[in-house]
Amino acid sequence: MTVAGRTVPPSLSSRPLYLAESETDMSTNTSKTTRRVTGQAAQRANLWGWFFTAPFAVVFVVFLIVPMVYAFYVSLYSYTQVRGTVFTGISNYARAFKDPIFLQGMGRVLLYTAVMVPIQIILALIFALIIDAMRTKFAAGSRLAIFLPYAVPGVIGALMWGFLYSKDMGPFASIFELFGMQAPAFLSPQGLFGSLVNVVTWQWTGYYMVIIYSALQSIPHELYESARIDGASELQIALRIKTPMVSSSLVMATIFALIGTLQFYTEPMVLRNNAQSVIPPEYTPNMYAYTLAFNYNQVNYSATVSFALGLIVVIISVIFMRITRKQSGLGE
Amino acid sequence: MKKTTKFMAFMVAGATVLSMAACGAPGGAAGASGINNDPKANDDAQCQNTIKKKGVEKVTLWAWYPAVEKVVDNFNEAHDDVQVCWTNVGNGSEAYKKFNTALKAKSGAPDVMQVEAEILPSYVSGAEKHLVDLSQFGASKEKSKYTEGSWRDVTLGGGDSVYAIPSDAGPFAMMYRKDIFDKYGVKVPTTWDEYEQAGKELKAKGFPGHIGNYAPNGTAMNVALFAQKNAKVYDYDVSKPEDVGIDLTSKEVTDVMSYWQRLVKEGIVTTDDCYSNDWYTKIVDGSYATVVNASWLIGYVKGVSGAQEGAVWQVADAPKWDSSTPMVNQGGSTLAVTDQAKHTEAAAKVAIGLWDSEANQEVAVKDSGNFPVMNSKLEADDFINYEEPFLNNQKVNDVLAPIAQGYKGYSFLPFQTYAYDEQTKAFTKIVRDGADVSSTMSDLQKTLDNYATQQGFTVKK
Repeated sequence: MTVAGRTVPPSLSSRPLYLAESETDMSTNTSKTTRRVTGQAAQRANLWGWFFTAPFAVVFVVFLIVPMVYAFYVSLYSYTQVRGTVFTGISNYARAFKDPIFLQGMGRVLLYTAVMVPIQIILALIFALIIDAMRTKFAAGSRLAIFLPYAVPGVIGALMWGFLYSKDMGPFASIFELFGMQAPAFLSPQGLFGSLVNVVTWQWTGYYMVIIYSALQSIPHELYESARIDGASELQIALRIKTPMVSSSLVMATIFALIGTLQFYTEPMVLRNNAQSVIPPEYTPNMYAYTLAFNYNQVNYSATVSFALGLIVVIISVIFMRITRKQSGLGE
Repeated sequence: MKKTTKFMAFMVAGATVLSMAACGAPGGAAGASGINNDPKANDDAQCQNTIKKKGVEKVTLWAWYPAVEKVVDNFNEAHDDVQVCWTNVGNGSEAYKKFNTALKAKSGAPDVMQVEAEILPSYVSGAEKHLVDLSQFGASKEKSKYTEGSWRDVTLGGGDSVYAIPSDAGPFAMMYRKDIFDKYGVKVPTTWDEYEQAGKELKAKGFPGHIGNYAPNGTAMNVALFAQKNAKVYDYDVSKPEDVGIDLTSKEVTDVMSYWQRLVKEGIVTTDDCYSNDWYTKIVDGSYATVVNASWLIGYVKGVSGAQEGAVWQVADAPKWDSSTPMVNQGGSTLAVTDQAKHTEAAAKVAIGLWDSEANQEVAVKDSGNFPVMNSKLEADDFINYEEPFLNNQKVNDVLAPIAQGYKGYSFLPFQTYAYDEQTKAFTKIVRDGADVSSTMSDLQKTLDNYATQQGFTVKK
């Protein structure tokens, strides 16, 4: 899904992929007699298949599977400062799911998810539809402008917002002063939620917009023409034709947003430098895992928290994908 | 099915390999208190400083003092038997993270490490015994050279063991804006009662700022405020390494917290977070008339831009409760020898000798901005008579040296980082949300008690 490319959205590519998959399935399930006949050729094809996937497989195993297995192994031990490391099985998990700090953090990111994900996806869809409907140079310019925040590294973006939000150094103080008003306290307990939602929306909306926009590009224009002949207005085309046609991209963008928000980390971690007492070190589950491992020297429990978080993310993602099976085209 | 079995087999195999690797040497208890003797082990060590003398034994050092390179160069020039190989791996918590990782890996830690005094207990308790008792290398006879409090802090309980050599301190003092107090005709406070009074007067006479600030996240600063009431909130003695003392519900602690809660309610002080850019800006732009903090803050404030014109800073003793209020300290570092030191005896020599020279005490004061802990420096004429240009040529050490020498020592917990994070949450509730002091403090007490117990410590009652 690149900016410039008219890449095929997953909905359209899913069918041939699906067919290819079922073919391989069939080949593994065929009886031994047929296999013997085509055995040599299949084996050679298989070898090439392994050859081409090997680089990915090696990286996947070394940098994902092995660390995950190791993290799980570590999470089965408990470390205490006095007794050192002891094997405790899954009792760490029992502790995590009763740990008020972990559960509070989880509640916080769920709230962020409930608020932030719809805002980002709806904004991204609106921008994509508008830019798609425009046929001027202005469209390309705004597309770039909306996408640009995504090109800013997350840490830099958060640092920048930290400065903008600053009570004494930020520009908002002087802007509001012009109108004789006081700038809102962005980094106060009341203002923090909105401030963080703003930073993340600013950073990610453009990225989702590009995903949806490239899906819009691949819709055949005949559809719009026939709709117009039937008397549909531009708004109706946007809502009744374009939006359903990009539903699979919408689902994909939502899953990205969902997973990203549940793993909320960079922005609160960076803004914490400006508001230590407002953002506790265990504000989100990911921050809690980091704090446990690197500030409190609780590596084992930190692995447990990370794993528990991963588990919850997987469960929520799977539920979401099941609910949106029809729209995403994954359920066929 | 088959795929799954294969995958499972792989997982199990992987886990077995990893578990064998990880179980190689369980626990952190170093045998024979971690004494090693391999003078050649550091020959290929990478250093940030340039070592001119070739073929001399090296001792590795992690430190983040300002101007530490000068200190190391001076030491190396003066010694022919050992050379210091220094690396800056980051300030405070950054360095501890790397140190913790090296301890877990059982290799990669330096021979000598800069450790803040309040963090020392974290590395000598329970399974985490990683600092070498330097009394076996003759550290005990250094005692008389150092201030009473700084030495007691490195003995962790006042016993005969010496777990580090103190290098600097943070006498607790008050910086104040003489011009503001003069302009509004308010007397500079010497007690906390006068402080409240002066705050009210400044406000009544039209001073647009506040007399000061209570920062809920002021970790050691807030402990120093308790220490002024002789309250031992955190207690740890290395002779009973599995016991900790936590007392956050005493009358003294409640009094201190109620005092600040009242001042916030009266609108005399703000509750900004400290050590943030906003806080530094507010210090210099005339928003606060006083800052009660460690003396090293002066060095930081000097460099902040946006200072109000005509500001006249002076330093005085921190306000007291009454005549029994002790001199207290906030912060300060030490040099400790780790159980991974390749040649422990040489490492001990470096820890003991690095700052102990006239030249380096001079660097400490002039270049590092460290407040010395060696009596010889504290009593030297040039030190006492030094006139600080930033403070309108006040003889600042005349005020600060007696505080450093009057400090008797304090204790911190083996899990001080955690305690700080929790205390910040409680103090935030008290001063910002006006939460009930005694119930909030007893909640904090319970939280820390639970953590201590969960970590295997016994909480002394």
